Amino acid sequence: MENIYKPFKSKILKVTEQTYDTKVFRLEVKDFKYMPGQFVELSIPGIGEAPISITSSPHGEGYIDLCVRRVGNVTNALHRMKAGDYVWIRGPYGVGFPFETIKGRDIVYVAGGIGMAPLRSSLNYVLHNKKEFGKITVLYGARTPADLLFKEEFDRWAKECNFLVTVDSDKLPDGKPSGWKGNIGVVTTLFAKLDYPINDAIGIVCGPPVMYKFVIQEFKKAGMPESSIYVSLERHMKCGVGKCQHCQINNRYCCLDGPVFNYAEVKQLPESI
Amino acid sequence: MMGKRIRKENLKKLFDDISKEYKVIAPVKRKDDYVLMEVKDFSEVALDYPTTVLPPKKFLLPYKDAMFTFDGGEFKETIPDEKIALFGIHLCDVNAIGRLDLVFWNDPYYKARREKMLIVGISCKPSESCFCKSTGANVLTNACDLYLKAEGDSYVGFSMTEKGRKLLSQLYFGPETVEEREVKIEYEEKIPLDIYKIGRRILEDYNNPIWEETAKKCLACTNCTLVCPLCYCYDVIDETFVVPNEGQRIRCWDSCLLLSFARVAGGHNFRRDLKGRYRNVYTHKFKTFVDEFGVPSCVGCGRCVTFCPADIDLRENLSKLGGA
Repeated sequence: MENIYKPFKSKILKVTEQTYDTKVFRLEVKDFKYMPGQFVELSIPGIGEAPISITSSPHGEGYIDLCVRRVGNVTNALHRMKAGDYVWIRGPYGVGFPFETIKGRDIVYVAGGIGMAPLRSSLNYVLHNKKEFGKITVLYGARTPADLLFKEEFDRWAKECNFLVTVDSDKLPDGKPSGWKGNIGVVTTLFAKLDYPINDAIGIVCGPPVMYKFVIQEFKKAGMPESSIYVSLERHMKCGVGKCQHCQINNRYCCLDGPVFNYAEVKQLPESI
Repeated sequence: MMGKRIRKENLKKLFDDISKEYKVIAPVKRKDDYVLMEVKDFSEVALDYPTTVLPPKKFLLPYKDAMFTFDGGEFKETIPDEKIALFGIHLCDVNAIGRLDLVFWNDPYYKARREKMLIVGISCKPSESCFCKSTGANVLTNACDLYLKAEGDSYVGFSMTEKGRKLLSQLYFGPETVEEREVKIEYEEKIPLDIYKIGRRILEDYNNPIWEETAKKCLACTNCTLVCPLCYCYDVIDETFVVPNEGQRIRCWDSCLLLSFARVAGGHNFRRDLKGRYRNVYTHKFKTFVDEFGVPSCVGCGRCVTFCPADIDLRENLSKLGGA
């Protein structure tokens, strides 16, 4: 019998420093099929296992990228590893973004902080298959300029879609000035800068728990029906296969039914957002 | 259903027969309580007992269970290999295993133990805290291999599986057959409950005052989830030995009543309040599990009622939720 909990060995091909606390790890995989929005369980023997969303897009074969912030035991240990080291992974798990349903539609992505990691997978997938979708907008907010992820892709995104960035504060995490010239304010302030109607668009949100309510309010104010809104939710998916109960949200599992949920469905679930 | 009679004094022969092939776990009296433990001699077995403190889940999902060992190189799975017979288990506990089967059918550790397991059930005298009828767990199902129904100074054995039929064909069971349409425990429940209706109401009536009231009494001690035959939440931990990179990955019992249960990296906690954590025990048992598998993850064994140090009675809460 195949052991559903057994991870396979994967070589770290490349480590890219993103910010002072976040790195992108490129892992070698073979015959690994996934969709944006899905996640893997990453193991470091002796440290533990943690669910990490995939930030690469499936058109790049032979590898997956994980964008990891240093916040817990596993992620801290991972941050000490280099290219050539090995980790263990299993997956992919969960249900990703519903591209079949949203084909042909305009999309408004709203990303907050590390929430950019799973959305980047979806965004790059959509931009790679641009003909199949409508107008794409990305509203991206981070705490400070030093917290912005994937800066090396900003120019390309700005060319290929409507890409707006803001920071909560233009001071660096240590309080020093950053010289930031862009938008300042929480991510919802970017909605005022949209110069076209988004009531017919699909809204996709991922960010810190506090962000969802406010972003959804903005979507609704813009006339977007709840069924057009998708949220990628954070929970500690410990087993990834619907058994351990850690990611249960009433009668849904983040690991099996999510992490991407339709808002009209999830809003019926208390404690979800 | 066709049964065969076995005289009480012949149960020892049945026990010895099983002992030849299995490590036998049976209820044993320990001070004022009954516990499930390994028994070598039939005379230690308590045939007539109210309920054991811990349910038999500990033999399928041990408190601490090794999943893999690692020595820096590979994860090596540690699939258990032992043949356990549960002897003299009440129907609620047998049916709890039947419901655990629905969850863990593809779990290699559970499956390895379960497939080799023999379950000999025994009839019981329901106590004040029992409500197996309300949960539909008072009926003999094929989770049980062999069931012994007390009748006067003998027992009637019913086999539900091939393993059970083999035992029932032994000579210590009498030749004549006893016919019964359905084998179940019948009694008057102290607080009868419409479990499915209540389960449907939990999400609809999410802010019922009972959660706030019960949270004031609840100590979050997790006694109820530990003694529950169907609470199976678990945590996964890597334990290292003296040399780094050498160790084992284990899983151990966890409880959704604990503050840390729904916490994520970075510190955010999706169920910080005890009220929400306490309610989650009910939403899972009577709503989520019903949606997933068609039955509640509760068999009405009454342990949570008996062992709650704060005198919280799950049945009273359920009955208030049902609007009864």
